[in-house]
Amino acid sequence: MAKSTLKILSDQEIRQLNEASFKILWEFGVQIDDESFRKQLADLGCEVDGKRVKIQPDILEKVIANTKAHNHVTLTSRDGIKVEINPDSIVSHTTGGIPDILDLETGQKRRPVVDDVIATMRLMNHLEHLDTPCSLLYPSDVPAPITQVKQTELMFRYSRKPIYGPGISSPGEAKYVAKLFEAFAGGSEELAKNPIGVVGVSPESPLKIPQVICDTMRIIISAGIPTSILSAPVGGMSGPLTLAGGLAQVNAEMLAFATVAYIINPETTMFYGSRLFYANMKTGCTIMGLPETGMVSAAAAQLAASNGFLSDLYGLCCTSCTFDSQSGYEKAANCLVPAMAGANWLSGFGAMASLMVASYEQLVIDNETFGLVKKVAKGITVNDDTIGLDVLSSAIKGSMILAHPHTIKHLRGGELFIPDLGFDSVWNDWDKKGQKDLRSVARERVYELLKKDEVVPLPDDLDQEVNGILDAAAAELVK
Amino acid sequence: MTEARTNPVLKFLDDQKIEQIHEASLRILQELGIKVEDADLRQELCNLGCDVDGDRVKINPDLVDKVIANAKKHNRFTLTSRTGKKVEMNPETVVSHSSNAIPDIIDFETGKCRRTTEDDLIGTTRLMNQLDEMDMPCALVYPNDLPAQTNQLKQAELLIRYSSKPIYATASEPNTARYLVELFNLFAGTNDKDMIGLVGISPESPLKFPKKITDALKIIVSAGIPVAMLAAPLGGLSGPLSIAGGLSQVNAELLAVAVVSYLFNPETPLLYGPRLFYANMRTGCSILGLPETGIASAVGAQMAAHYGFISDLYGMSCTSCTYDTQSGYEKAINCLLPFLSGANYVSGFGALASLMVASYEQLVIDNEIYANVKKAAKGFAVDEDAFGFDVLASAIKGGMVLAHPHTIKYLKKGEVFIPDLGFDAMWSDWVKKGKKDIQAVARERVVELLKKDEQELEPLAADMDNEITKIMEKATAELVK
Amino acid sequence: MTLEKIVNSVLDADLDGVEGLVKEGLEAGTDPSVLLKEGLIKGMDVVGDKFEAGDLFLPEMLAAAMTMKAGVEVLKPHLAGEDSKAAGTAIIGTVQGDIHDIGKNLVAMMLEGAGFEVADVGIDVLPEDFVKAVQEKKPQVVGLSALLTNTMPAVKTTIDALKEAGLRDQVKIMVGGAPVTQEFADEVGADGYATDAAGAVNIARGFVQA
Repeated sequence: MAKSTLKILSDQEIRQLNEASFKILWEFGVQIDDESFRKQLADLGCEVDGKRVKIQPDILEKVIANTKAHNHVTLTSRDGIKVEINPDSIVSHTTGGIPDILDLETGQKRRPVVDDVIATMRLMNHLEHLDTPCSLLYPSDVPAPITQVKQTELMFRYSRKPIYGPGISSPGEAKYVAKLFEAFAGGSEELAKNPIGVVGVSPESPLKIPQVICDTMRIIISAGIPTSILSAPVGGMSGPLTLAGGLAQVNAEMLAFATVAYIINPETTMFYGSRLFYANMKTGCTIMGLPETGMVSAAAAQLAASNGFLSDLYGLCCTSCTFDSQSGYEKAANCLVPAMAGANWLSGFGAMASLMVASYEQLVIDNETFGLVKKVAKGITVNDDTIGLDVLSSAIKGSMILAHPHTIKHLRGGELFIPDLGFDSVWNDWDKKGQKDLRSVARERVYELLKKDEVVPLPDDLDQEVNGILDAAAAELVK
Repeated sequence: MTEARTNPVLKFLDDQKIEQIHEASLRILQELGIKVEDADLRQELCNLGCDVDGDRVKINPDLVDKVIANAKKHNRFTLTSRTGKKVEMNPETVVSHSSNAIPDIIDFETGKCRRTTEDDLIGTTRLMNQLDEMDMPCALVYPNDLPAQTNQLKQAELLIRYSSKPIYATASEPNTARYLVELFNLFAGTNDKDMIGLVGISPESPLKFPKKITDALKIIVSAGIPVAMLAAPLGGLSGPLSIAGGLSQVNAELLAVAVVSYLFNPETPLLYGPRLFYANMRTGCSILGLPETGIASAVGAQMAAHYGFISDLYGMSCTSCTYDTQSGYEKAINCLLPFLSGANYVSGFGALASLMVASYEQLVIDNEIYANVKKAAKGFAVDEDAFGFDVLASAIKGGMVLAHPHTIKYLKKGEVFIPDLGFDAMWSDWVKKGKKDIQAVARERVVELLKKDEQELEPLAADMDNEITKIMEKATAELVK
Repeated sequence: MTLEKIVNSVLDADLDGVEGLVKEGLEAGTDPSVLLKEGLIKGMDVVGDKFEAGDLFLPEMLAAAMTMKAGVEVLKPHLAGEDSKAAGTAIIGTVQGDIHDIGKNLVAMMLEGAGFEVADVGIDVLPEDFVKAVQEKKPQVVGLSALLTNTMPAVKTTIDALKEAGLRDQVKIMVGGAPVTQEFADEVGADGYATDAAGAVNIARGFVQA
């Protein structure tokens, strides 16, 4: 099967962008608050100017070569479900840590609690096209200082799939998150060999790695937990408004982070997690449904590949606050464009309203949309068999194409997308079935799937170990 | 708005696969041939060097090459509406048109689905006058209250009367074609010889040219009116289920129409309209929202570019029967794929339910989807100025990016899409504004725009009005019994 | 053994094998009516159930129906009385001005698969030709197909012609095609409408059982 290729930018333009990022790193450098990192980087040959570290192209080349050598990883869940991510993969994850949810019963927006985190996790166990869940929600009933630890625990307890851990921003929590990863992997050596998931870590834009992030990196990356570098400049606010400018910056931020990761532990897989996005420039509110989100994600997929990274990008995101055509076209466009450009890992499952509101129904709808996008990105096969001259030849002699073995063979071979949730008939049927929109169908599906999920409890010893980690985290971090 | 394409970037198939499909089509034409009903036409094609075998005409690759080379010389033209609006068509532009002759509409007042009438055709045409992204209307709906014999003709007449834009007419038999030429001729010559529109004509699949169709084609092509060749095999029913097979077939059918058109008048511009589509294979009902519609269109755009034709493709098609997430993603995917692949002419405005139900609100929503897709497919500048090093340099020193001249300059240049209809704020604003979904917003917009058109549409000049009326009376007297 | 093989040949749509198997059964002295009911029809029933359950696609259903039909052709001369009787008779065609045949062919094939005797009168059929066909074939069911919006009026013209010829009450009329709706069917005075071929078969069955 020929994978189709979208080049939102030409190879020449990608080269120009890389040169621009090299220039940024060499001329402006990156602010690194950790003194020992600065020293190690100076030893590597970087130029240190106060808190700013300027990185030479030849060091970047070395980092890129190392990144490329580690750009494949297989995540294995507690249940043995494997998700392989390599430069040819296209897999999905959900949005993480959304502060509000639409209540499944009332449809009203409210703050989510631990039970919502669990229920959405269990729903995600049954979504075919969702590969790795995040903790979709930010549980409001957990003390803030240990939320990330709690989210990690809940993911491990309730997900049958490998996980995409929380974005970690404090070393205090990083320590316990790493312990949880180790506990579920069965020890630190196992963890490095056979990771059960990844976490995200965010530098600051423009071009800054604050002390807490340096400390977090030290813990996570030395533990060998695959890390997604989530760099999220807002075009026109924390980076240039121009798409090319934002990309040059985010690309520089990726490379800087990867350079620091390289001195911590060169064996850890890094994901190119560009999260460049834009705002409504009349109000300054950031909105995720603009087509630019998808455009820069597509370019980021190309940039990631050019620098040996696996890409982890926005995907199904929207500004729309409801289940209307707008959420449909925004999500589809923003997912399809990077997918066609070779994105490896796409986010966005379950989110609405610029990632600020989550919904059960949306998770199920996004599963369908991602299935569609994957089908398209897979491309089509062109050979003598698929060209099928004999089918035409028999058709013009009057035989029925519909019952031809060629038709059945390719239908069973998946030549056509078969909607699983989406409506796939004609108006009269729709009318007969009660004129349901996609949300109503999704709602019914949510109940069905939740009923289907069975929780497999943790083995006693693991359960105790996990509880111990949580207790210790609470004791240390919650005052 | 006609806009120069800067960045056709998606290669759904690589060049070698495109060539493979071309070769397969040549084999289809040479080995299987086309069933041509009209014996005289068969003879003429024979004179042109084709082999005739019973009612099938087998076309050799040399002739196909010649026809393609000729078509390439006639792939640039301008259409001018009766009010002087121009639409340029060539392989570098991308323009839009609406769906055609939809039998039902969601009543704007009641929200109920019902049969369409002449008034709906007028109303939707006037709404399309006001949609920025809509370049050329078709008769979006089929006026069920008008006689069948002159219906297509009447559709064209109403488009001419009520559209301020060039028009897209259709002809499926010679009587309509004859009078269409008369209507078109009223305008040709008054505006630098630009035509007021073009005409879509469809052969049958697989590989069948009924006499009615070739007769209509002869009349339109001979008159020099640009023709959109529309071949619409249904994968697995009137063509192979495999996408590559359907593409080879539809390509062969279109090349054959081009050969026949060449015979009638080599000067007439031809549009390449592969309308390959698929069905729900559990029921056999054709549904337009499958992603394969977009995939086939994307490759269709590549094939057209390979030959130098202007492509005319499905675009915003959907299976969904309502204004839900599904209609959004189906339309977006099916429009984006051909768009990114270099499509020139994209359809789908105004249709729901696999092109069987029209809607006023949907026209307005599609205008927004099209704008989004166009922006995504336009690409963006990558150069020193766009990199904005000085912006970064000042930001690092604590300067404010938001107020930087670079930001303002590019904002004004349209670097970031500004939604015109879509919601573009935060949840709390949405609640404050009454929790409207996009259909509700579109509804208000419909009322606004129709009112605006009442004030803006130039009436037809009295003499032109008379001429048109005369032609229509003549046609009615001849054709309606 | 042969019976099971016949059932499977229908399930697998083994068009090449079914005739030989039926002949084999006949040669072995199996009652033709048993070969029909316990073999071919049983196979088709399984296919029908799977189709209803959504496990089979239309092409698979159709290929099985064609296989069964081929088997029945072999059996026909050996069947007596009730067993050889068709489930019903139907004529079907695409109305005047419309040259599309896919939908019509599909319904014809599915009706045959359901045991109907079907006369396909073709495409672009004039109202008077429908009248003539009804007079000749005396069907219980008439199927009218229209794919194009602008040929739908010919559905009504055809029904009117049948009325005028005094034949309307002797037949049940069903209509179909992409732009056709239940409302349209009611408006033109048809007896039935279905969105797809399987639905059309159900309606036709209902007509002949009523």
